[in-house]
Amino acid sequence: MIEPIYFGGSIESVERDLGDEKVREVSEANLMQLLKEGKALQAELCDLPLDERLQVIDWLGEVWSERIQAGELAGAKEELGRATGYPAKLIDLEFALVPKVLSGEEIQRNLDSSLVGGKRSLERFLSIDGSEAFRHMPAGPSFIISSGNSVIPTLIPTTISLVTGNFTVLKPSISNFRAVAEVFAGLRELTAKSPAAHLMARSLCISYFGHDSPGLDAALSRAPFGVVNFWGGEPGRGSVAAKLAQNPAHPRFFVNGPLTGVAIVGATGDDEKVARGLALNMVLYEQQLCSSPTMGIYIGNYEQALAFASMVRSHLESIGSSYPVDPSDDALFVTNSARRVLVLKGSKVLQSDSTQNPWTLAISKGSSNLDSVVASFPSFNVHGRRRFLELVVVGSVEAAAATVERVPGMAAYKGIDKVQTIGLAVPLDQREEALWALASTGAYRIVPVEDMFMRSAVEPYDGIALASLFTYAVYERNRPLPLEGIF
Amino acid sequence: MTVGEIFAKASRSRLLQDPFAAKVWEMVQSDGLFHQSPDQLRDLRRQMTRESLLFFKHHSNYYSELFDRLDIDPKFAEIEDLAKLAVPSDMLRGEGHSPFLIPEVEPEGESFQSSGTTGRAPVKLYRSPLDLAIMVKANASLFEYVYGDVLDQGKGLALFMAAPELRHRLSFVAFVELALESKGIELIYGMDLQEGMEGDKPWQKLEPNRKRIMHFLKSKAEPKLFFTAPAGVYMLAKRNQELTWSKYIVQKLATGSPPVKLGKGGAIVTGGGTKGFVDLPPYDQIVSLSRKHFTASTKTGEPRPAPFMDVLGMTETLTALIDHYGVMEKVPHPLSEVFLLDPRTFKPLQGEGKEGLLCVFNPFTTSWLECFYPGDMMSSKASDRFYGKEFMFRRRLTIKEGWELQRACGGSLEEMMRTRGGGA
Repeated sequence: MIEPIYFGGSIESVERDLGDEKVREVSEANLMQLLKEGKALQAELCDLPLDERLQVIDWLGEVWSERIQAGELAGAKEELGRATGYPAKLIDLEFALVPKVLSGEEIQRNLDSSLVGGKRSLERFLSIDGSEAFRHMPAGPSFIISSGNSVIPTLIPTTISLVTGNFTVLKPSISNFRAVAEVFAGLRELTAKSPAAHLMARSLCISYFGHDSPGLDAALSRAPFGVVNFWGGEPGRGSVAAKLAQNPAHPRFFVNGPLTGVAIVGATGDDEKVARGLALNMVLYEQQLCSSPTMGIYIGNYEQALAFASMVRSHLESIGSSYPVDPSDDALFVTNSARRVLVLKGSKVLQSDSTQNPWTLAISKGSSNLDSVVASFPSFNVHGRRRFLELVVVGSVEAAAATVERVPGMAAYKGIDKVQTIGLAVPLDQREEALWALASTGAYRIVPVEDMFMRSAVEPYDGIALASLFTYAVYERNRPLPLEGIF
Repeated sequence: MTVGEIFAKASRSRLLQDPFAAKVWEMVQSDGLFHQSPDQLRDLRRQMTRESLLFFKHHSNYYSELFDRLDIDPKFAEIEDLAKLAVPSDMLRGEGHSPFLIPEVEPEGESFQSSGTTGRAPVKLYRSPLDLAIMVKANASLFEYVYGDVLDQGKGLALFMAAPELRHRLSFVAFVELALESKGIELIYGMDLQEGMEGDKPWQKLEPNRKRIMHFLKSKAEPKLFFTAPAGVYMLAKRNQELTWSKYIVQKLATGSPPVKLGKGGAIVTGGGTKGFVDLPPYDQIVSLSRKHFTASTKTGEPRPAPFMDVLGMTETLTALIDHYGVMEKVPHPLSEVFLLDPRTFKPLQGEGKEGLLCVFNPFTTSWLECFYPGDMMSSKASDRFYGKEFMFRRRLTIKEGWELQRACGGSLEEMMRTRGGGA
């Protein structure tokens, strides 16, 4: 049974029936008590040198690596695979990437690029020009309601929140609870290793809450949180926002909404490396990441697009078959029907014969045919489409940018706020023009097609530096501003 | 249009100048198809498939390009190619059929549609006069084969538990009326269509017309043919079953029933199995109960259990699959290519007994390439009859399985008999 985790002492929980299973969640009274103590813990965390905080996170990554090597995480892998539908090999990859996210060095780079004054501004006032300085203080206690599509997107805000000195309550999704809990379970053994680890362990509470749980209602509408970070879309987002509006503590609320990715490939920028990268990104995470390419745009002519698609096809065959999946009969039926609608609507469809690697590439002239598919098969929505890409062939960079702008309004992308990531592979002489046009499409990232799923440590999250959201800046000036000529 | 007008317009069709359309028109009028062997018919269908695909390639850029995209060469087309062409019926909602019609499609035909009660546009298909004429001829031949005899010209009386207005909306009703008209058999509609508004939502409901039903019950004409959705015959039988002694006497004196005497060659024809309503008993129980209240005899007058035939037709198909309870499972028209797909791969299923996704290809339809899957799961078994196979309805795909379209003709009739749900 899912139970709350807190290494700072005993925890009082209540049982909730979710229909299929029972869970225990931290009681309202206990949560309020923890938050009260959390304020004091935040003060202690702020006194802790940043390097010591980062050291604890590093150790957490090391513990995780050791546990993988010892084969202790088989159950968590299996559970995550079952809940997400991801192939076992992908879960292995996901687990192998965890230590990279829990890398003190990576987090330092992130903090440096996120905070005015850099990472040390979390410890003390840091002057930027001798007279003006900044210090960043925890804005929490923070409450992170994370997504369920994989483990890593949950770890990133949680570690940033902890490292920036916040008492942190984490609500994972039911699908990734166990895996996330296993990551932070390492804190238990680290508590004996250093006072810093003990302090950070006491600063994190992990609990599941049902969407209609009275405990969640209390946490959102009454608990004295300073920050609430919600990952996901409707109807949860609207419901959380409405409850937070009543909260007398007026917590800062920021949403990482549902987003998606688009790959843009230009003729002569369409080499084998790009084709392989696109195939890889279609297979990884079954396109459920906010950065996953769920649409392709080819700038060139139809025959060139077909030739590129043919290259992608061979990589989908080889990469996809090394990540076998076991889709349901319903999913396969809908995929087959979707392919059919696309062909009948004028797309050329390349497809796999394998049910364990059911990839599809649809090449459409000028505009997308995907809305027609969703009109007949609503379950072939952006969350239901796996290893699927429609490559829309357009004649210019402007047309490509216009296609990107249309994505959030498409029926086939219902529930998606906007395009997060553009994987760009255009010839060098087209790149400037492309960047100019794409910057105003609303997309947050423009990266190579090959590694759309990868994040650099310095990257903002959905347009905003995450560390700045978990902190508030205290500004200090040691001399008056020049006022001559004003008064 | 009357059947006479349909045939008159069909005979003037410019499409008949095309050798394939002319051949189709000639073939559906031939009685010999049902006497050919399964192998002969299989070869004939393969040839018709190829000629049909060539016909559409020549008459429509849309199909020419579609075949190119699918790497289909009509000259060598096989069932595997038809499997690639089958249209999901959901695409035919609203104006979805229009893009599939050939540019030369002839006007002055009729459109039929399914129920639109799910809040989305119903499936709607246009039928040209030539296709309507083919529909009448092909279905009448198939009906007589399954019925086991020819319907004598001008003899008998039919009751259809539908309203006359539905003749121009539901293809099942149209096919029955036109086929009977072509045989000169009088048809009585046993229901009235009531319409109204509930708030801003229109509703339609079928109410029994007692006078016309009484006319059918009292008539001495033979054979009596009773066409209905399964819910209709079930409700009548159940009502008779539950008659009090006094009501039984009164009804018996007034109408001579129960039991309802269908007479020599009489039969009950249901439409759409029991897929429309989940609260009906299984079809065999409906048959068993109904046979206590409906009697029939052979053409020579020997008593026999009332024959039950069930028509699995859809708005999308020009011809139906028809079964004869206890005699044969569902059989299609000899020229229809009916096959089952593995829903996981969309490849044709090999062998018998497996449940698969029903696909129908009618090479005799001239306005569009009529190859589609309506969302029904069926199985087949080997048969020594003309088709070499007979088909059994298993179930309708569900919304959970990804199939949104839930109602066809029979379901629409049932719906309108039971609730105020039958939207336009």
